[in-house]
Amino acid sequence: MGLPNLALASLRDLGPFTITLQGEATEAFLSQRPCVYFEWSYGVKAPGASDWTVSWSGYRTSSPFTALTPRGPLPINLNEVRLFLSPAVEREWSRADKDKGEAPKVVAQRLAAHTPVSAAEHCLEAGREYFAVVSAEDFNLPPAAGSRVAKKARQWVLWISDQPFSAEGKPQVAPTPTYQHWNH
Amino acid sequence: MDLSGVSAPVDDFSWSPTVSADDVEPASTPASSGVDDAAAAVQAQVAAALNASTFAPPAEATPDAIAPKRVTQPELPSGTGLSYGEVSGPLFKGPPTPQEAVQGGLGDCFYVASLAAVAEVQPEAIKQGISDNGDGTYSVRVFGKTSDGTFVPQLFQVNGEVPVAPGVGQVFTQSEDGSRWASLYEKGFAAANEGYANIDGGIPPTALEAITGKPASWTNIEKMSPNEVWGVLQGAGTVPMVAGTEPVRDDDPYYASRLGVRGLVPGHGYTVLGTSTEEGQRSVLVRNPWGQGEPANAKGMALDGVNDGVFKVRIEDFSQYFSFVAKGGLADVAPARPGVGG
Repeated sequence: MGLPNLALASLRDLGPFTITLQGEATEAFLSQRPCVYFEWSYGVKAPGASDWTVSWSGYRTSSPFTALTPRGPLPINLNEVRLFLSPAVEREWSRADKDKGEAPKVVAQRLAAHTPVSAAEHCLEAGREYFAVVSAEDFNLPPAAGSRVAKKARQWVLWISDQPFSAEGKPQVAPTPTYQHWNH
Repeated sequence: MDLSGVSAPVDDFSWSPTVSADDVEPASTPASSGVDDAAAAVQAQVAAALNASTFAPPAEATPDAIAPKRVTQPELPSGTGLSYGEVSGPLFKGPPTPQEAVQGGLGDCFYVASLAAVAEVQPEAIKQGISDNGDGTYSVRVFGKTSDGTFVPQLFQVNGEVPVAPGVGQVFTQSEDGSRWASLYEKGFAAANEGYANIDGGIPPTALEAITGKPASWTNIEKMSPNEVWGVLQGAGTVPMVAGTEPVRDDDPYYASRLGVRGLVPGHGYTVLGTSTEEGQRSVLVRNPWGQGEPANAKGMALDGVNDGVFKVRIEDFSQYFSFVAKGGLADVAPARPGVGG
């Protein structure tokens, strides 16, 4: 519903800036890195394809964290960020690995039908410097009673990347699987 | 789903559900769909009789279900003036249907479209995922995960109050027929996510998994041919499916406009109700979780005669304008008990 987030909106005029993150670190599932946020996904690629054709989410953490911005600490919930990160780790398993116990159980189940299956994990680390910019996300909500015109809403979100944004403010890394097709 | 009653062409649209890009302002909330008090009282009695024996977590369906948490009142979005208020109505009015899940003034289309998708193919799973505790509270089952991807059911106990706005009434997910299951499911999901603000935007697989406890796949169809997309859609109507559009596309500055003239909303999730082929034309039957908003003529009349959000999209248009398909699994459900209907 275009929920106000005054703290995020107040950083709009900064343009791109750098942040470091604070929060409770969790050991990531695949990489075992301490991360204030991590997500891992797995999927199957069509022959010759670089991206997954079909994918599944393995897990993502849900705890909020704090971004240390040029104007002070900013508590962040996970639906207020859009992450553009390089994978922290990538793995691949083939059908031959199915009975070796090396692949996570949910991945091993897919090996019966698909081969190979690859996984990627993305992580935000405490203390590491990331690139950030506040972005407006516009979306539509149902029309009010008696109207056929959709309501327009806007949410301010924090783009976070491990690579600098382009001069036009575009991310240079793909969004993580969780944030690829965000819907309202 | 039987598609025989739906025959709208989808070539000639003139109604756009979007407004001018310049007209951006904080969203307000839609009016409540009230129900007649007397009718509601009768419905409540019927519902009480039905609900007394419909709740799931029968052990065989959710073997790992944990005890319900204490009553949770999910945090309301700050700065909106919303409060909690009682809304009357039965939990269910017969088997749950997609039409009973209508998105309100919260950007959780991904969840409402997923609720509708499960209601379409497995209404008994919806009924078994929520129970009326008989004391004014309800237990809502929400599946979470452990870090290795294993599903874990959790029960969130909520009371019957829902977010309301002064002079408006109920503002988030609701049912036009007055049943309450969809709004209470949404409340349970908000409780699991520490507040309504945290479900203001998201992705359909997460919602499908939270409802069914089964892995939900993503298929990116942006570069697929209509034939390939048709293949992805196999199973529509038998497993829960949600398809979505993109907010913008860098390679197509007119993407949102193109969607608009076809009655589609950018950055939005739609329930996939089924597929059909008539006279050689393959089509996908989708439902806008708004419960309205579909291709219309110049006078704003829905091309299929009813502006209920349910409409057909030719496979050629679907593959061009939708960007992903999320396909869920079927929830484990307990066998129906003899003599228990609903």
